[in-house]
Amino acid sequence: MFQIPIWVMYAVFCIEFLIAFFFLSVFIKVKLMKKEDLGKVDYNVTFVLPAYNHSALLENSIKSIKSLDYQQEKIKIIIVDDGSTDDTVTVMKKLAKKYEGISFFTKKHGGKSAAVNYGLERANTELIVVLDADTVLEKDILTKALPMFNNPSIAAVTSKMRPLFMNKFIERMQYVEYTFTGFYRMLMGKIGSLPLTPAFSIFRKEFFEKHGYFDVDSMTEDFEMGLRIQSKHHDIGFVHDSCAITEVPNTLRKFIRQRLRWGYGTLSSYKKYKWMIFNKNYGDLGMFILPIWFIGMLIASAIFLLGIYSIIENSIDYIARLLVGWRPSFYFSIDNFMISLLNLKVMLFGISIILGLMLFFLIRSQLNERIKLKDYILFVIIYLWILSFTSILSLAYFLIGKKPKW
Amino acid sequence: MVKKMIQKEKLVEVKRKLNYEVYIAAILITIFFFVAGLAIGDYFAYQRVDDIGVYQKAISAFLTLSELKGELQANQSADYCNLSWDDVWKEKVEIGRLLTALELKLGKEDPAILEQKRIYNEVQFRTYKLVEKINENCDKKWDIILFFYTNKKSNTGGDYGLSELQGYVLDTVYERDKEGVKIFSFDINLLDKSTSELANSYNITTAPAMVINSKAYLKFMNENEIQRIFEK
Repeated sequence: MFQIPIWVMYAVFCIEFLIAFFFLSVFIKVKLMKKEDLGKVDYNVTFVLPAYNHSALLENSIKSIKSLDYQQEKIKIIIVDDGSTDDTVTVMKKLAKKYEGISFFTKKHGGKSAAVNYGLERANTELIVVLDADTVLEKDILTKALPMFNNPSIAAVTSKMRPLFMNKFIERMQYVEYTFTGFYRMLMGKIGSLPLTPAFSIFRKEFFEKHGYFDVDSMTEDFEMGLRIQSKHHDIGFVHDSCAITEVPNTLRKFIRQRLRWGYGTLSSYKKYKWMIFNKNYGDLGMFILPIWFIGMLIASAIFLLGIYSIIENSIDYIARLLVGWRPSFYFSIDNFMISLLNLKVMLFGISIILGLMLFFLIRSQLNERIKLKDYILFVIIYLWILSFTSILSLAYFLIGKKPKW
Repeated sequence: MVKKMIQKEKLVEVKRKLNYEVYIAAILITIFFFVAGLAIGDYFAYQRVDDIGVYQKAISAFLTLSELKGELQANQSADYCNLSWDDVWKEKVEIGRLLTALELKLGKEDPAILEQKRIYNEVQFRTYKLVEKINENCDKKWDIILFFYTNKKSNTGGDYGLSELQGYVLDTVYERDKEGVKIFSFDINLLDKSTSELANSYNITTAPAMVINSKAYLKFMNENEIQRIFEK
């Protein structure tokens, strides 16, 4: 039978350590840097909310905008109904009557990017917030985000995310994931290497005017836009101490479909901006973040395949042994146990666990999130396997050129 | 302090640079963990190999003493029967297990491991001879198994997969009757003069093969087949 070469395992550990220590080094560097005074702000802002069958959550989003700690007279809201089949239009009209500063439009269904672009064309403030209609904001998010635009290289600012509901297992796992990615995004933002603008992002209108609106063909328009901003040598800022709260898939089926789209979209964007990979002109993003992100996706797929293979192989071996009369015995020797601990792969695995726990406590405290240790353990044991599965699924769809359905 | 107010400034491009110090730190820490892991693991593993050397010397000394007694008092079988034997046997089994674990850690081709296995083969052969004598002279009725296996995955000298499986079966056979079964395992690729002669006397040239109570079986056998031979 084919045996997984040991060097594959060491290569995986090596990449894992390089990523972890890269970000820990960035973290230390950032901590040692002087905090910049970003100054006061007085920007006019337009919120663009694309809505497709979002009648249930739309009012919450509007309420959260209306409750922001920012001068309300500086805020305009544009809701774009993307041909909803539920009562989104009715809710929209009701909200426009109830609150000031809301304009709404209805268009034929054409996808989220087309709806956002429709709104962007009609916005005339210097800053535009693109906000999913199922996303609500913490009160201080604008006061934390807008000062970043005083830096003239900043084309967009985004923030950490948190799931709206956390009752189900899959929602809690996404909470752990969002918290971890929030930490990495914060550090990427600090070194000018953040390449995405998810569910809540603020943009300079000037950027859209110069470089175009969202790509309507992309399945991950936020990643495409992030890469586009970076490709034009502009920065994306990240707010880590305030949060956008969004609805996340609450069933495994919905989750896999979402991640399949994300994975496919990510690979398509990689293809579109492949010239940025290993390009020194894009600094750490080109030389490390983009390559490692892609390698990470390949590794996740490989781990999934090898893991499944290993489980099957060991099960066959185990059954074969049982069939010839072997019975497991519970022999324990402290000597043998100590020797097995001395194995390099066991030690590296141990270091990985310690590193993972250190990151857990560090991230939890830095982002001030209440992720539970129990959930983190489940995240490592179960959720990462599901993520690996979606990685390999996306890779397969991409390689055969089959576009996932929404 | 008057806070600055910078607004409506044109979007400017930024020149990217690499954070070399971050890469150097990440690479150095990663290398440190790999090297430290290897060094610590090897240091303690080789210490255990040295310990095995000491244990084997002790067993060798015991065997030499027993053999000497046997030669001096060839007709006084009682001496064999009164040997304080259990601890030595347990130690031999433990050494076998330790060697298997260390083989996994240091590799089957590690010179220190090969040297200890060579000594272990010798110890086993001498123990086997002693056990045979005790069985004959002391009415012990132990079931004695000589197990020849191969450790080479290239299937040199036999089938690696079947050898491994046979090893598992013999583990169970031993666990079922620790007092009544004596098993001696020999790597067919590491036979010395005495163990070679032993293998040749039963025409064993491939692995897995077993000699159960002085009769050779040149094939893989499951637990039931072995038990049936014991019952005979």
